[in-house]
Amino acid sequence: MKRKALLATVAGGVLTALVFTGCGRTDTAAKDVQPGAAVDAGPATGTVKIWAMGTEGEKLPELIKGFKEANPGATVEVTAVPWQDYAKKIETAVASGSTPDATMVGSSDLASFVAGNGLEAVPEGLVDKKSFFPGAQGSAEIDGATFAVPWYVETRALFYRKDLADAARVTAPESWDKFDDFAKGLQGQGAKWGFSAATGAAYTWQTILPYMWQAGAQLTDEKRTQLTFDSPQALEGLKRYQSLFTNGIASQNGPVNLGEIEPKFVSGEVGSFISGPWEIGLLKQAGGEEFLSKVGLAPVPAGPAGNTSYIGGSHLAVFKDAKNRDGAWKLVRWLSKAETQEQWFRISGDLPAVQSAWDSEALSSDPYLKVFGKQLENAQNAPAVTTWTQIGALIDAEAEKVAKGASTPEEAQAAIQSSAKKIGTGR
Amino acid sequence: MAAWLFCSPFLIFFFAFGLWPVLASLLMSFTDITSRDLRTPFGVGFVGLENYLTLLADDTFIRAVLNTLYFVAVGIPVTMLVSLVAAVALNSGINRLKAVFRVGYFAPVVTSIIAVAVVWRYMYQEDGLFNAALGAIGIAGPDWLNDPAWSMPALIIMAVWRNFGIPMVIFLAGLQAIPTELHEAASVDGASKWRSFRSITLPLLKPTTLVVAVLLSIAYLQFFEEPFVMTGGGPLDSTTSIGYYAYEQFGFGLYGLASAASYVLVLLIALLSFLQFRLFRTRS
Amino acid sequence: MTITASVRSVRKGLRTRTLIYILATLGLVVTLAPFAWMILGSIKPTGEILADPNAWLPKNPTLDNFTDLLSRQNFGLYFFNSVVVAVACVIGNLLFCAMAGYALAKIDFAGKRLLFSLVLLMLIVPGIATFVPLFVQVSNLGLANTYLGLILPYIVTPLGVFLMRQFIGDIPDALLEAAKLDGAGEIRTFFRLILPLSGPALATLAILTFLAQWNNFLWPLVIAQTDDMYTLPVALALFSIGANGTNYGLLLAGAVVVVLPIIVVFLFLQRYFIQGIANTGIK
Repeated sequence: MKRKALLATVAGGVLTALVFTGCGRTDTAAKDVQPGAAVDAGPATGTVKIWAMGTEGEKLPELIKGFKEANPGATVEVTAVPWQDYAKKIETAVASGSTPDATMVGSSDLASFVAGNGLEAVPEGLVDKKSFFPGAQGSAEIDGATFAVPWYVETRALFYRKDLADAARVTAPESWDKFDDFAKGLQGQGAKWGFSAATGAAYTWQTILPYMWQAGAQLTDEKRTQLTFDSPQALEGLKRYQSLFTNGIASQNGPVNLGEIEPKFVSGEVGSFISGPWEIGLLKQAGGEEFLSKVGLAPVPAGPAGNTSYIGGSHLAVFKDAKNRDGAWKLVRWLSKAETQEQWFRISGDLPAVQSAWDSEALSSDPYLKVFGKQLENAQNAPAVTTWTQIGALIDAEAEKVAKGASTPEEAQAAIQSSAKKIGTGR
Repeated sequence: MAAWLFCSPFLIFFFAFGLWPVLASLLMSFTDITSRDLRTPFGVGFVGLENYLTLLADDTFIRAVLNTLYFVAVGIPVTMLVSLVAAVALNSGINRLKAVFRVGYFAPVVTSIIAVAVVWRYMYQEDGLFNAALGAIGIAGPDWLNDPAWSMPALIIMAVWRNFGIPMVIFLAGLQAIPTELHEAASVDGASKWRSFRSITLPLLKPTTLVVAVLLSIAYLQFFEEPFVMTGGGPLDSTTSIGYYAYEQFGFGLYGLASAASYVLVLLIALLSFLQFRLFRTRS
Repeated sequence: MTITASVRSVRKGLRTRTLIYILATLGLVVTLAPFAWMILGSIKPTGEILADPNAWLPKNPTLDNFTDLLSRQNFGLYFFNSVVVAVACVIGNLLFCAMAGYALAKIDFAGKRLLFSLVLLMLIVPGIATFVPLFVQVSNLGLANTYLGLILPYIVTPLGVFLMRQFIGDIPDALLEAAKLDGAGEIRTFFRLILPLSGPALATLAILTFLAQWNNFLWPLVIAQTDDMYTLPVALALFSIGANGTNYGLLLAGAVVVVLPIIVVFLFLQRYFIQGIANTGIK
């Protein structure tokens, strides 16, 4: 009896609260975000808590030693966070107000965290925005304000079996129209597939977007208030993607899981694929050190509008609820110095987001990195809109239909555009 | 008074961490709450049934409902059959090493799915162990996880493997509760083994079967882990379940929609359990 | 029945029995194959797993994956956290669910039916439905990143109450009457009579709870904010699943480490467990 009454009161209370407040959501669009107070140049003090994912989380403490030497009054607590479902972890922390001071964020996820309203805009004058690769800096700017500082970058280039290419007397193709002959050439040397592309697995959009950019598509309007997947250029990109399968150079069942493509590349079943700098280590693991002599690396082939690739990587952001705000920003500032970035490359292999760090001996002497460095100059990131997670998943699903012949590029384009319109840009 | 004393510790936790969140998420399913509203939950807009209507208009969700029903309609009978066969074998033919068989058959139940997912993904590859075994008997196996027609059967096989241990134990218990005199009397009357199984064992197993059916319905309608670790809902949404759909919406921060999707699931489970009770009642 | 006939029927019985053994063994081999692959994989270097997933035997068997895993910072701590959470949830479930189950089964009080209906209702609510409000609730109580935050949401489960109520309901009332006549109160009856008699049900509940908590991933992931509060599954994801690659050797070694304790717990309790399931399952 008593319990029933209690329940009724609680439920009633919540309901009335809902009814009376009605649609009383305060509009917290990022457009009126003002960066916080400037951060002084003095040394940091107090404890700074920072989250970092995966390998970065494991290796960051080693780099931090240098920060402690320069800032004796500060201590840094690094928490390693699993990549798997890390976004939920950050969102829920923001929601409850129990966040650390700073965190690393995947560059394509930043916008959705900004939507959660938990990140502070980067103070004016903290870092020189021009020192970073433009694609990286671009993905840190959401709705006209900057919410993070680029930390490390990655981009995608064409990995191919040099030995098969030599035997087929073909060279790395520089454009779309030469690409199919190149792939067929590899197939003539025993590869079952000349090329391999993602077909619906998570993050397939990272494969699709470059084709659209290479055709000259702009995926948002100037102000990023609307998504524009309905351009003829975007359609051309989708058609190019479709042709990989209809021309028989790539399998309709692209790799679904991590670790699936490498053995096929080592065995020669797949002749080429597009991937990032981490791939070198994975290929070593799958094929042994000596296998690398058979691996060629080239910038991605150009479409009518150029050879834009995808730029990914991670940024550093500071939470609004940071207990040690100034210390956190000072740590971020230190991490984006060119010499720190170079040292971080030696520790982790992550590529510096700061362009000048690439002049150092360690980076400029590596032939593979040369290719990635060149490609970084022409690489774009996903449209920085707060709803990107959802739109990316939508593109994944539609791309799969195109690859498997369940829909035409035109149908996919219409579906992407109409759903993207419905989802909106969060503004 | 004593009753409340006994119930109080349970009640406190049950309300704080069970009923209250369930109620809250029911309320959430009628609002447009997203991840950015969590700190100001009372600032959200009340949208009535809009989330539910959005679901019904979403092809992917309809597909998820159909997939879930497919999984349940095929998965439950197959799981029951396999577990019943295993239980009968353990009960009637096997005396030695019974414990070994029992633990062995039960082992999949106690493993972490993340761990076995790796193994199963390799087994299902086009040139994997599964197709190698099929090839040995002259059948050309499909590309299990990449073929929309075969992806769900593949996950059903995996789910049966993972889950048949518990119903097997329940059936085993049910079989052991049947007095042996009944079977002895039947065989004196010249009834074949099969005949006495059909006309004595099966009818007496009815209550056990109901328990198994209800337990499996609750578990199988929440079908989520297999697509999560094996296929990501693919290929072409052929393994997206309601649970997986809700999880995805939750990942996009659309909490209202995610709650609505889970409540559709709650309704389905309630409906199916109720139907089963009715069905078995009227027949017995 | 002639002698030959009976010999024939004995022979036939033997044949059937042999056939059943053969089939059951085949079933066992099939059931355990994935485990064998997992254990054999855990002693292969990752490159070898990737190069030929269909191979069973390791070419260069190595314990590197295990040494790698155990040498990670805090691995012992993660293991300890997992044990603390699982054991606390088991104890909580056994005690509180048995108490509530006893009240629901053997004491008449107002609201009993309603309460039991609520328990049944909660049985069918999928976890994902309550995840968000539960998180808000726990953080508002200031329990994020504490053992209590990891434990309290699972310290009682509707399944536990359901199991205990079903089992205790089968204990003959005559026994309770006898205890009452001896002047034992409810509390004493419960601890002296009910609990000792409920062994099988308690074992079942212990295994099911331990299992669920030991393999729980999403909740510890979001509620533990620093790595000293991580549990094994979270740590496993941290080590083996990267942004762009999976360390399969490490993952399989971790899987073996996660699975073994469960198998051991099950081996010890299996007889009670099966008895418990048997007695609660048939209603």
